[in-house]
Amino acid sequence: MNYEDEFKQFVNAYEKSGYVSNNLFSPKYAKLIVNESKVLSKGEVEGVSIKTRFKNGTLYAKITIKKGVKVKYPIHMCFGVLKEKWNQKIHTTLILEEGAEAKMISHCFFPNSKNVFHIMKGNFILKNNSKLIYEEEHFHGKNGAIVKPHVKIKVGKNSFYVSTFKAKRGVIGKLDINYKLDVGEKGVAELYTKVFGRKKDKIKIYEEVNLKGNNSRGILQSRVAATENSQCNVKSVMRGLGNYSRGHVDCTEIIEENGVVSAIPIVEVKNKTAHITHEASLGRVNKKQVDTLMTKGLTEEEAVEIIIRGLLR
Amino acid sequence: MILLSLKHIIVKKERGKILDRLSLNVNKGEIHAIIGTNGVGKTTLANVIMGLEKVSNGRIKFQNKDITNLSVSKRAKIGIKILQQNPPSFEGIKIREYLKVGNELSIKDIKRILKKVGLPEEYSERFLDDTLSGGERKRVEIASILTSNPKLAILDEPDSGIDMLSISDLKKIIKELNKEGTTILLITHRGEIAKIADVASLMCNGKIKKTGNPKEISSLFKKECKNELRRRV
Ligand SMILES: Nc1ncnc2c1ncn2[C@@H]1O[C@H](COP(=O)(O)OP(=O)(O)OP(=O)(O)O)[C@@H](O)[C@H]1O
Ligand SMILES: [Mg+2]
Repeated sequence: MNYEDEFKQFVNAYEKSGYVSNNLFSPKYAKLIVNESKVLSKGEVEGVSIKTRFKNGTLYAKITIKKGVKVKYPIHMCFGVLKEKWNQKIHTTLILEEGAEAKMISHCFFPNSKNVFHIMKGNFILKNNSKLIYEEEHFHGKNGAIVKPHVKIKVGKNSFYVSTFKAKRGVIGKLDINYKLDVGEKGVAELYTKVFGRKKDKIKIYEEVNLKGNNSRGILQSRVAATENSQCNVKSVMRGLGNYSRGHVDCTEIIEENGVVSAIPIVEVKNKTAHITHEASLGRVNKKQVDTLMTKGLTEEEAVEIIIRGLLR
Repeated sequence: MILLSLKHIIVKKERGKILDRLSLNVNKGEIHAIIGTNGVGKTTLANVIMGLEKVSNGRIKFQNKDITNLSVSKRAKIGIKILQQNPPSFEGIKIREYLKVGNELSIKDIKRILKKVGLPEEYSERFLDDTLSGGERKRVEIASILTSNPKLAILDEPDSGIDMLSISDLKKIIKELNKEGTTILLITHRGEIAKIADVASLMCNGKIKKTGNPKEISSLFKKECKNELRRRV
């Protein structure tokens, strides 16, 4: 297949997976588009450099946002596999130099997967006074895939990192999330994870935030629905190490049918001026909420659906 | 004409009967106040009518049909709506979306209704989560009642959480709703609110003790409260 056909097919599948493709063509957006292990398109904008190379079955990508650059439009990353089987290995290094600011939207989609592996190792470095809003969304088709995003993130002094991870549509398969963050002085890290388990999905989420710097702040929020025969295990670690560091862990897991959920919050405070709170709620959908929606004329099933959709929004 | 009738309703919990052979008739078109001190069973009564609370005994009739075993959503569909005393918050649901649950409303209608209940129209885009104040939450629920033109609206302490200044607006809203044909069961312990009622019932220990004109029932209620106070002192 020639390059153009492959790109067309890719965009087609991307749209069928529920995404809007306009931005993939616009030169205003920096982008990296990968099918299987091949770079289909790469676009840089001023102040954003994207370097890739392929070695030993792994695609290495290095994205740098130059000092002081505030990227106007979101940087788009697409990692797709259109084949039923593939072993996609990606190694991403993302560097925000001092004072850089960007938003990044990352779509991972494997619409035809029967046995797709997607292993993503990431290393994100936010130097001082930088800001990154990172959104990652997954779609693994009807059969699910085996997906492991493992990312280490360093949030520098006065820097701000917010990430949202969403896997809400389709069957997930096996998901193994592992995020480790170190947050420097006055740095902020907020992680929001929203996952909907169906069929026999197996979901493992490990998120660790080390509030190392003085006055650093962190939020770990997970919202999980485990329906049918899916299983979900969430481990959230928040450590208050720096003076006056503040952290909050907030986990809500809902089960329906034969879903199984567990939550292990680990909150550690090793500094007497640090303060960490956590709340967790596991079980069926809140009855009072269901009742209230039923008083508006919804059936129980409809009410539950609206509540879960809201939680995972 | 009787719209709603409850006969010999019993609700039992581990600690005993919360409603104890309660009977009540509500006529079509009236504002009927239910007055009683804390814990006499007013909210339980409201929930029984809406179907949120199961009865151990007794029958409920609405428009002459037995609805004792009808589900909550079916009761909603035949025109019974409730404003709960403590409505829950919802994560990730916008006020606009909430008001559209169970009916078709344009964004213009929504903004008009929000204005009517004293909320800025930008609130249509706000989430119905716990960042809303108690009074604002209550106003959203009043708006929700207004969206559906119910035959019967059960208002469980609509005035709680609403500031003094806005009480007259609230009374106006209730009266208007009533004029448009909604029968209202108005649960309150504020005599001020009960003034707009056509009829009032005094509730004591899980029973309706007396039904009569609101003035008479209010003064009876005051006497009851004084007696209760004496007993406690
Ligand atoms: N689920 C329950 N289990 C046990 N007891 C309950 C339950 N719900 C209510 N009660 C008790 O039943 C009684 C009546 O409660 P209810 O909420 O109906 O009172 P109320 O008249 O609405 O009071 P208030 O004016 O404070 O709103 C109270 O004593 C309450 O503690
Ligand atoms: Mg009550």
